[in-house]
Amino acid sequence: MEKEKIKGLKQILKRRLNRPLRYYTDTCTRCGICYDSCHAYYGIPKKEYSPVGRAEVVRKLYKKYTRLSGLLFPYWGDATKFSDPVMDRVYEAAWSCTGCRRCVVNCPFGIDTGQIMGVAKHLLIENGTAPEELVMLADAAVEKGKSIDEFKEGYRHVILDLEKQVQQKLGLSSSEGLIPMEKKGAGIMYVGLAGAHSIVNPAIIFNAAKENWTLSFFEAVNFGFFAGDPEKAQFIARRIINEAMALGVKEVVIVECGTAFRILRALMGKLPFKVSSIVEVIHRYMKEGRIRIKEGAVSEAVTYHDPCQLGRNGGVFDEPREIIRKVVTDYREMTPTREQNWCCGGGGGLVALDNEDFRIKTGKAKKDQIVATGAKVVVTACENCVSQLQTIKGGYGLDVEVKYLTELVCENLVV
Amino acid sequence: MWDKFFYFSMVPMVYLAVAILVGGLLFKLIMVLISKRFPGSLSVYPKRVPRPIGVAAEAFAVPAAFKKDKVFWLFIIAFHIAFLLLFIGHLELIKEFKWIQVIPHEVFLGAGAVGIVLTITVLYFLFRRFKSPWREISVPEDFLFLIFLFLTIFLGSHLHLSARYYAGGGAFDIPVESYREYLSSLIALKPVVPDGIANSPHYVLVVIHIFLANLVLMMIPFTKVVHMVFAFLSLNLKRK
Repeated sequence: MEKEKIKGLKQILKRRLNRPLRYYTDTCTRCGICYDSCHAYYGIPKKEYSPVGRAEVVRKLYKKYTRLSGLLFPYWGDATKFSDPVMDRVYEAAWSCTGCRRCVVNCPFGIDTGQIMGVAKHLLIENGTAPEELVMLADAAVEKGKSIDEFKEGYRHVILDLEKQVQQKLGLSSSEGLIPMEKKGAGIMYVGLAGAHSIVNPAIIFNAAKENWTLSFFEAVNFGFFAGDPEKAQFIARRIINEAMALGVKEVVIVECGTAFRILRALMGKLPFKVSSIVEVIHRYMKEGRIRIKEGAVSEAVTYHDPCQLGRNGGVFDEPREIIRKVVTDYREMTPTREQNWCCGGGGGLVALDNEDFRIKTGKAKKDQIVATGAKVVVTACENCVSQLQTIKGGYGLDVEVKYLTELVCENLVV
Repeated sequence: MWDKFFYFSMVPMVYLAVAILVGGLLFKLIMVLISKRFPGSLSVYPKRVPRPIGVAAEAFAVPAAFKKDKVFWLFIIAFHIAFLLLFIGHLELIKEFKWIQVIPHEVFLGAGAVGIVLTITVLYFLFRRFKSPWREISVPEDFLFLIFLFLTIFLGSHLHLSARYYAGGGAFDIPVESYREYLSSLIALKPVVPDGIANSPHYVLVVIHIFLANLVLMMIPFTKVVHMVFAFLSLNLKRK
């Protein structure tokens, strides 16, 4: 490996060594309690897919380049230098981790392997071996942020078509203004995704609740975060923050996308508006009587998959369950559940990569959970989770239907 | 030659070990303080109890280990309680503390059980690492530190047990007063190795015990033992 490249990689290591990383690099006792807390290890039981196995790849680099012990007696902690084989191990570690943080819950010290893998992903970008598809998607999102005015007109035309679908569902005479955009002083700015379902269903719900809302020009998904590029991740998130501030909205509501929700709610510091998930908003409308749902309308056995970033990392556990229990008569909880729920294996950008075989194998824990419930419908509230659950369904030939929570609500909305 | 080594281990090396331990830990804490804070929150949910209670409960009761491996948890708890008693016991070898003698006892606390528990638990931690999957995730530090710790504790335990239970008809008894004279002289920076220690048939073992303890103290800032400080900080992040 060339000296210049090693120099750049060392700079990344040092730049990323913030306070939490110092704790996480020094505290781990390699007790191994976290060993099988990862869904990837459950599916493919090899050291490299255990949280400690992954984190050690990066920790050994930190030992080598930022610790006196690594300089004086590297054998002591098995400190390793940058090399091509080491970077291959970094890749395997980073791109087998979904950042679900189940290991944080199961580590006696609360070590966040997801944060350590954030450094690993950043190293891969510097090394030029980050997944190209994610880097390109992040670049496209950044480009859209820089020249949003060029996109606006085309996007308005797309929205006109979607408004007709909302009109049809609500049985209204006109579709005008059903999906408002650039509405100053709106109570809510909703941030969707590229897919029509991520806009139409929430729009139906907002209109049914007679909400004063507006739609963001941007997609909530943050490919900069997935790729592991902190600068692009910041830029992509800031586009939404700036738009919300310019419109003076009180609340930003995030589509069914766990990562987008967590980034805005937990990772961007204090913001001048409230950040909610669409799930929380639906629950609020239901409690306030602003929308009505056909109670007990679904008699099939239904289970709920907690998206990791919404549940374990966002604290939204009860709201989706209360919504589902209202609609279905046979709700079945997965085991384990809530903070101990298994990740589906699609988060962290993995679902966007060409790795279907790997995701089917590492989705085994989720498959076992679904099968054990005997449910015919799996409801969840995250785009990545839905895609990955579809992959698991196909890979294992499961006889289940996978649904978005908003889809379930819209199908059973009293209009 | 041996006299010099004995004196070096008993006096200058002790100061060196304490300096490296304190300096190393302070350096680590200073590096933490000057490092960038994380701008957001690294919380996981649910948060069932207030933060300080939650951090203390996780740090002292180690529920993650209890849930996963109850035998391992038992050894973790036994080790840490015994280690606390070991620390208190060594405080009493410096001088008499009335608050420690609330329940009157002969120095050292535990009548020898502390050393035995520590020896067994450290051996368990060491042998556990010989087995897969822990063997694969272990690095030389993990084995070497436990071996040094085992030897230190084993010798210390031997010194205590032989003195307490009159091995050799009391010939190996080094009086508590001699240890107090030695350790308090170190603290007062007027070091002496009293005759009660230097003339004991156990003097060689005392020297080796202190030599190994010095090595263990010097290793601490370079090992995972810093979890004794950082565990609270990282657990705090999880709930912040």
